[in-house]
Parts: sequence; C-alpha cells; structure tokens
Amino acid sequence: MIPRAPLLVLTIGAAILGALVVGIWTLVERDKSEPGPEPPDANGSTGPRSTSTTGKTGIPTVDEIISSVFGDHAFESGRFFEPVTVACVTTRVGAPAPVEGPACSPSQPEGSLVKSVQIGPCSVTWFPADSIGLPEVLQGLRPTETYAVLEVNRELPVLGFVAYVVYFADRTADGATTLVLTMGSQGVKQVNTACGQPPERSIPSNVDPKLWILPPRN
Amino acid sequence: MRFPHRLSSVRATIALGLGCASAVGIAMVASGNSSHYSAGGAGYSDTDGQHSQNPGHVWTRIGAPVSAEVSSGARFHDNCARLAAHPTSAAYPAGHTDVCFGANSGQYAIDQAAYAGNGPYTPIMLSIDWAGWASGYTVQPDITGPTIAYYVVAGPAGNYDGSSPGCAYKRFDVYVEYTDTSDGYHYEKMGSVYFGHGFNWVHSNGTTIYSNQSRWLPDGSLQWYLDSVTIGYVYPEHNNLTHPACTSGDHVHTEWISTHNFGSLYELHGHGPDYYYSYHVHGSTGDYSVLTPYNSPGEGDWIGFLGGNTTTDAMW
Repeated sequence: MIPRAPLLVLTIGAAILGALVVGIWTLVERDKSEPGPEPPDANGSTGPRSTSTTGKTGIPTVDEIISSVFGDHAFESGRFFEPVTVACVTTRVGAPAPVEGPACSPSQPEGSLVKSVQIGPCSVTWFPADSIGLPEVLQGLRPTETYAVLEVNRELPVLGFVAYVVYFADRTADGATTLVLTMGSQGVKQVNTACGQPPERSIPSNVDPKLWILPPRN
Repeated sequence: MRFPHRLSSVRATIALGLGCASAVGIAMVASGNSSHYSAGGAGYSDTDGQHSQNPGHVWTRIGAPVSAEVSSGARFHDNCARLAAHPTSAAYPAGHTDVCFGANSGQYAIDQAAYAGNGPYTPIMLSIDWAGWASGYTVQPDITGPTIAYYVVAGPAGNYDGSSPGCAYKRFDVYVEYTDTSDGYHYEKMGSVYFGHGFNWVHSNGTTIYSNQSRWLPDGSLQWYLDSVTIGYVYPEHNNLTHPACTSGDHVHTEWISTHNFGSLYELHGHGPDYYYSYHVHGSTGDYSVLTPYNSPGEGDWIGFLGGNTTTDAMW
C-alpha cells in the first residue's frame, strides 16, 4: 500500500514532467516546421527561405507578426495590429505642429475616437488600423531577414505599453534598409522604415544587451 | 543689419589685390545659358515679377549639410503646404505621406539619412555660396569693395513636435552683400534655411556667422562664402524605442525659403522611401548647369538655390 501523500506528490511530479516534455516537443516541432510559401519578389520570382532568416522567437504574438511580414499566412489587420485609440482630425494644424490624429471620415466629427496605428517611412502618421494592409506596412520593402527583436515591456509616450520592437532587414545589392514594427503585447502599434537607415544604424545602442530576444545579426 | 567691420576688412584685402587685377570694371556676366527651372505640377502662380527684394538677381546656393543618402527625396512645397490634400484622399492614398506638407512652410525640402553615431556625433554643416547672376542680368562689380559676401544669422530653434528632442530644428537667415558700380550698395536677405532633427546647436539666436572662405575671380572680384560651418549635430533618434511623429530614425531635414520670389531645388534622383515623385524642379542654374543628379550628396555638394526671377512656374 502506497501512502496517499507520496502518491499525490508522484502524480503532480509526473504531470509537471509531462508538461515539460510536451512543451519542449512543441518548441522542437516549431523549429522543424517548414516555412510558408515564399512570396514573389519584385520580379515575380520565389526562392527558399530558412528559419534562420525569418528569425522566430518562440513568443507566439511576435512570431505571428514575423510570419505575416514574410507572407507565411494571409495578412489580417485585426490580428496584426494592436490599435491605439486617438481622436481624428479634419484639418491639418499646419507646420510645425505635428499631425495629432488620423483623418476623420466624412461622417465623423472632429475628435471622434478612431482605432489607429502610426505608419510612415520616416515621419509617421496616424491611420485607421482597418485601412492598412500588408503593402502599406511593407512600404515597398521586401524584408529578407528578421534582423533583431528587442523586449521593452514598459509604458512609452504616444503608444502606451510597448512590449517588443521587431527590426527587419531588406538587403539588396544596393544596400540594406530597415522595417521597424513597434508592438504592444498583442500586435503592432507603429510601423516605420527608420528614415532610410540600414538595420545596423536603426537599433538602439543604449539598451541592456539582455533585452535582445533576438540579438542583432552582425 | 550691416556689418561694417567686416566690410572694412574686406576692403583692405581687396585694396591690396588691386594691382593684380587685370581689368577694372569688367562686366560680370554669369548668365550665358538659359538654364530654366520648371517646377513640375504645383501650379504656382506669382504676380510679383519685380525684384524688390533682390534687384541684383543673385543666385545663392545651399550645400548639403551632411554626406548621406537621400532618404526623402527632393520635393517642392511652395504654395502647397496650406493646401495639402488629406493623406487619405485619392491624391494621397493610405501609406503615403503628404507630399506637399512643408515642415517649416518652406518652398523646397530634402532629407538625408545621416547617421548620428553615438558620440562623437555627426556634425550638421552650413555651406552658402554665390551661384551666379540671374540670366539676362549683368552686374558690374565694384572691386574696390567686397564684390560679394555672405552672412548668415542664426535664428531661433523650434520643434516640430512640441518638445521631442528628435524633432528640433533651427533657422538660419541668409544675407548677401555686394556693390554694383551702376546700382550701388546692396545688402539683401536672400532667404532662410532650416535644418531639422539636430541638437547641440552651436549658434544662439541672433548670432552672425561670417563667411570663412574666399576666392578671387578672373575679373578681379572677390567672393566670400561659408564653407562647412558646423551649426549643430545629428540627433541620435536610433536610441529611442518609440518615435515621435516627425522622425523614426537618424536623418537631417533641409528646407528653405527664398525671400525673393523663388527658391529652387536641384533635382536629386534619389526619391527615398517617401515616394516624393512629384513636385521636383528640373534643370540647372546660372553657371552650374553641369551639376549631375545624385542619390548620395556629399557634405557641401550643392542641393538647392535661393533667388530667382519669375512670374510663373519657370525660374532662372
């Protein structure tokens, strides 16, 4: 006869062990999983791509964003973005004041709250999140690799809580450009291309190296 | 505003050089070619064809403040900043920025992707030089005085986004001084140049920045100009985790306004990621018709001009 207390301990231990095995197996299988079909480039050609360039992190929300950028599945605005609610504007304030919100639709009065994201190549502008598709996100770039992923996990001006910043590189024979996605815990809040800087010159140099979930590729 | 102390100094220099002058009163004809500008598409209409602010028809050129690729291509803002179509209108589809919106309400602008570094930081440099007399106009320089000299007065600093450090800009007012034997003394404001996304500005508001270089011309005239004067440093926006609306990376914005009818922008073929395909200015000017468009101007390479003479889009 086995005492009840040790039996309970054994049962719990087995359960934890099982969960660990399943978790590890899942991670291994994720790494072994085949990447999705290669999207055509500007010339319409496709080519193989490895997970070493797509640079998955093991964080589901981040990896889903990365997969979307690489065209591994259909882009869904509702899953890709984590909009910020801001008041729309009907007129431009004029230089040098910034553009404070997205454009109101014809039926919206000034100040109506709109779920929006910031997007732009250098200066960023608010747009209703549901008006933005993958082409607007990519802004003509075709990322060739996930360059780096930074963990932030704190409140920041304008965007509120920021969990991660994902840096993609688009490398061509002419040089490299950068696509930067700033994420909340659920999705992207801001998209920019770092004013034309290459990825090596788009990442912060003043952060704790331990915060790099995916360290910058050298 | 005049600077007699500088004038005296230059007069002395020129007096010494008089003996070397092979000709006195040589007409300085720097026209010679038609060199028209055509501002594409903006439909600018100006009824002020007389040059009350620039009777000498002086072209003044602006040098690139940094050596860097064009990140937001040359664009023509004039008469457009306040009439900008909304970004979501048919003319400006979602995802494209507003091409007409001049950050400083200037006429022309260009951005270069200069990397700030992490200290020492990349300097932003000011280069202002004479670029010729307007076509059809002949100046007879008085070589007993400074044939032509430039002065720049530092203006106030400002911010495109309230107080975001990466959104700071500073204005510089450009003045030219010369003496025409037939028309007398001139001291005119040519326009203003703005540099954006800088920090650690060197000159406080109201400070005069004097020419630091000079050259003799074959006709015996002397030109003083500003060559690569450090006025500030590129702000390291790359170290920020989120960005204000005005910028998401290290770069320098250069924008200018001509006090006289027009400024102009030398067309740079690098349109950058902003898709500024329209509102370019085509052509060349004055004696500098051989300029070659480039994607990556070096520091001091000529990227734009102040001055002009027009009643329509055309300028020369």
